[in-house]
Amino acid sequence: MALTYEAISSQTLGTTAGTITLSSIPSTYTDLKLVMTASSASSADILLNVNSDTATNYSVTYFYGNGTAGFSNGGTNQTRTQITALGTSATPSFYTIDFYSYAGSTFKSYLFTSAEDKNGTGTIQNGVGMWRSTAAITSILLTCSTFAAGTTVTLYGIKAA
Amino acid sequence: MATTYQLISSQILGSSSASVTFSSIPATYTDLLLKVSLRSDQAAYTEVFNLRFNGITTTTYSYTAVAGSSGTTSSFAASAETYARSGPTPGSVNTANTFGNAEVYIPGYTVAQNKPIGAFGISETNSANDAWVQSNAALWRSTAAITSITILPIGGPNWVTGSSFYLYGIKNS
Repeated sequence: MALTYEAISSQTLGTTAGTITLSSIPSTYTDLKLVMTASSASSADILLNVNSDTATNYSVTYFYGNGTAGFSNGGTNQTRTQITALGTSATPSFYTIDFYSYAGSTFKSYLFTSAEDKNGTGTIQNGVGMWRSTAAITSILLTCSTFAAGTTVTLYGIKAA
Repeated sequence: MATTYQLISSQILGSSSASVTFSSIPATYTDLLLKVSLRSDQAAYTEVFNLRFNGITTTTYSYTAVAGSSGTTSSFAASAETYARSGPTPGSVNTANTFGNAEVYIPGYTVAQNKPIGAFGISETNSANDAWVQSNAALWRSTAAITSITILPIGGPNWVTGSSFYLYGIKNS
């Protein structure tokens, strides 16, 4: 049986970093799944860009909760997709981003989750983003004020056949 | 290339059970993914489910959730709990033969750090008041590797026949 779920790359930060780049993504899969455990020295959102595109080609819709209030929100014509803030403790938070038909010639949609519970404070976010481009996704850029050492990012490729 | 997504174990209940445990989880994967389809015999309200790791019942768990039902979005949280929580699932008060489905992702389950957990679940019952979608962030404050997972109904007392539990291991290399 053919393998349908493969690790494309994985990296664990040995020191702090402001960005994490996943580049040279092959177009041989159907979908991509990014899995990350991360923490930060300072509270800051994670920003997602693909193919180094910083034009207003992104939009997002999400629902969110912080333990006391839940709501839904979104944005259009943005320069990146903004994902809920990292915590400031050494306790890592958990993130996933699923990119669908990333090598196809239609606009690219992706689902993301942000799960961070700090035993008394926390946030949870589920969202859908869109990148309005017909180009295949070949690189992913994650930006944060400071990703802490130990942050781990793995990119999986998923094949339909 | 190595296989990165493997079924570790599964359990499909042939009779009702108060809990389900996956034990002797090997340390050879990077992450764990638990997929469940659940219904309890709780009669008073819609059910949710609790997770315990390594049999630990101390107050080392917490969670933050956002949920939607009947056009309303809410959020709630709890700290210093004796379990991590996910959900929702139907109980016997809900439409017959309906089950809730959920995925629980546990990254870095052997890493010597506190364990973050992400969960997403739904319970669609063809009833405006009892259908839910819920997403949970949870935390187990332990540096120990996870070697067992127990899934319990909060009210129960039992998971009903036909409830299913699948535990997958995911490797990043």
